[in-house]
Amino acid sequence: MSHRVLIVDDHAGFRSIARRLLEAGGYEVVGEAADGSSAMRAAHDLQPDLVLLDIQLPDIDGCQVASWLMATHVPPAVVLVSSRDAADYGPRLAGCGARGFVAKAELSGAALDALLREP
Amino acid sequence: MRRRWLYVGVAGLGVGVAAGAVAAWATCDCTKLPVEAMAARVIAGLAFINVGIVALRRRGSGRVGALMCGVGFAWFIDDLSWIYAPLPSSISHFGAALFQPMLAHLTIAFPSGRLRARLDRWVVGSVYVAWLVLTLALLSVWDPADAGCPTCPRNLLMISRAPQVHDVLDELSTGITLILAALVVGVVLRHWLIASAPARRALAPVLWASAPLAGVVVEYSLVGRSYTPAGAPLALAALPIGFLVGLLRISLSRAAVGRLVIELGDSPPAGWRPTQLRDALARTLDDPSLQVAYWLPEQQLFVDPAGIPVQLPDERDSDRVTTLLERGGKPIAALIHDVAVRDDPELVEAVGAAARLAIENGRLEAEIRAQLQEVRASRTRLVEAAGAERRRIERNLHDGSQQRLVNLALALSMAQSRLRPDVDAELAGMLSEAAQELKLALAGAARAGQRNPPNNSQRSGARASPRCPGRTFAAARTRDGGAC
Repeated sequence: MSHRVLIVDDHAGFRSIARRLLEAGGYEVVGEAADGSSAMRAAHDLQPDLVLLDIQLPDIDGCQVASWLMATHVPPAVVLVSSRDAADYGPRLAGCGARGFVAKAELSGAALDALLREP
Repeated sequence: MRRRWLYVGVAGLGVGVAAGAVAAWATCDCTKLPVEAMAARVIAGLAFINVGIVALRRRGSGRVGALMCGVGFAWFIDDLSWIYAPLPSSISHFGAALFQPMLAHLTIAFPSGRLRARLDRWVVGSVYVAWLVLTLALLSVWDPADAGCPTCPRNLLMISRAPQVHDVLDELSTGITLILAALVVGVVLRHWLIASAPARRALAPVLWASAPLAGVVVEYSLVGRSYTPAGAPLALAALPIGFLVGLLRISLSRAAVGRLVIELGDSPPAGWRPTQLRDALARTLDDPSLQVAYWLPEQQLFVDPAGIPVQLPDERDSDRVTTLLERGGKPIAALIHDVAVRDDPELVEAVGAAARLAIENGRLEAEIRAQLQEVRASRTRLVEAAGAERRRIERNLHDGSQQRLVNLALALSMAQSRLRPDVDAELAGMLSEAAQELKLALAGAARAGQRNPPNNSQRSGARASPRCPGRTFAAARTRDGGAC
C-alpha cells in the first residue's frame, strides 16, 4: 500500500522536486503546505499517513508542528527534513514525536522507505 | 547687617510687649494674678521669643524661629485683658488661645518648619479652623456679666447674649480641644517613629518638654484657667527649651566634620575603596542611607562609585533629598540623603567642603568606571550586531544558494535514478562526479551556517550521513550510528 504524503516546506522549488521524487518512489503526494499553520489545516483535511515536514518554517517551528500532529486523533508518521544536519538542532528533535530525520539533499523514496521500516 | 537689626528689633519688641503686659497688670484696678503667676507668664512668653530669635539666626531654622516668635507674641495677647476697655478686652478674649494652634503648628513642623505630609497639613489646618470657629461662636453669645463680672468691659464680638448656648458651646469646645491635642501628640509620635537617627535626636527634647505642656493644656480645658496653679505657664517655658536643645543637638553634629577632616587628611589615604568615602560621609551626617552620586559632565548624568547611572530622587514625594556639591558653580557630585539631614544645611556644606578633594578623586574614579561600563556595553552591542548580521547572512544562504543546491542535488539524484549505467556509462560517471561535487558544495554551505546553529543546545541526536541519509530518532537514541 502506497503512503499518502503531505509535503510541508516554505520553498516551492523544493516541494515541487520532492513531490516528483516521492511519486517516482511510489508515494502518493496528497498535498503541499508552505507554513506551519497551513500544514496543520491540510493535515486535518487530508488525513495523510506521512508528513514530510521542514524544521525551519516561517511561522511555527517544525518541531512544534510535529508535536501538534502527534497529538491528533490519528497521528501521521512525521519525517523532519532540513538542509542542515540534524545535529545542528540538538536533542530537541528527538522530543517532538517525529519518526525520523532526512537531510533534504538526501531525500528519496528509498531513504523514506528505510526510515519507515525501522522499528 | 539688615538681618541683625531684624533680630534686635524682634527682641526689643518682645521686651516691650512683656513690659507692657506687666505694666497693664500692675496698674489694673481689677482682680489680678498673683506676682509669681504673672512672672511665670512673662518668662514663658519671653522664652519663646528669645529661642525663636536664636532659631531665626541659625540657617535652615528660619521658619521654626518665626513660628516660635509668633507663639511668644500670641501668648501675650491674653494680657490685653488687664486694660479695662472694651476694645483691648475683646481682642484679648479673641486671641487668648491663638498660641495653641500656633504651638501645634510649631511642634508638628519642627525641626524643618515645613508641613511635609498631607496628614500634618490636615491636622494643623483643623487646629487653626477649630480655634477660629469655636472662639467666634463662643464670643458671639458671651457677656462678661454672665461670668460674674458685671463691671468688666463689654464684649464687642457679642451678637446676642445667650448664656445657656455659651455653656453648651463651652463643653463642645473643651471636647474638640482635647481631641485635637491628642491628634497633635499622635502626629508628633508618628514623626518620631518614622524619623531617621538625626531627626530623632532633634525631636527627642521636644517630646520630653511636651509632656508638662500637654498636662497644662488638658488642665486648662478641664478646669479653666482660673483654677490653674500659678506656676503652670512655666510648663510652657519648658517647650522652647526643648526646641533649643533639639536645634543645638543638630548643631553638635558639626563637630563630626572635624573628625572627617582628620580622617581624610589632605588627600584620601592610599588604597581607599570608593565605598569608604561614602561610609565616612554617612557617619559624619549620621545617615546610614546616604548615597554619593558623581556628576559626569560629558555624559550629563550622575553615576554611583561603580560608574552605574543614578536617578536622583523626586523630592516632591520622597523622604530622600539631594544636596548638590559644586565647584566653581558647576556640580561635581550629589549627596542623596534623608530629608532630616537638610535641617542643618551648614553641616552638609561643611561636609562637602571637607571632603571636596576626596569627592573629586571619587568622581574621577567613577568616570573611569563609567567609561569601562560604556566600553563593555559597546562590546556587547558589537557582539550582538555581529551575531544578528551572521544570522541574516546564514538565513540568506539557507533560503538562497543552499536551497538551490539542495534542489539541484535532488534533480541530479532523479536523473541518476532514471539513467541506466549500461546505456551510457560515461554520462553516468559524469553525473556521479557532479553529484559528489554538489555534496561537497552543500557541506561547505552547511559549515558556513554551522557557526550559528538554530539553537544553542549541545550537538547530539540524529545525524544523517551520506552513507545513512535517514535516521529514526529511536535508532539515534539506541545505537551509535551505523545502520540505516
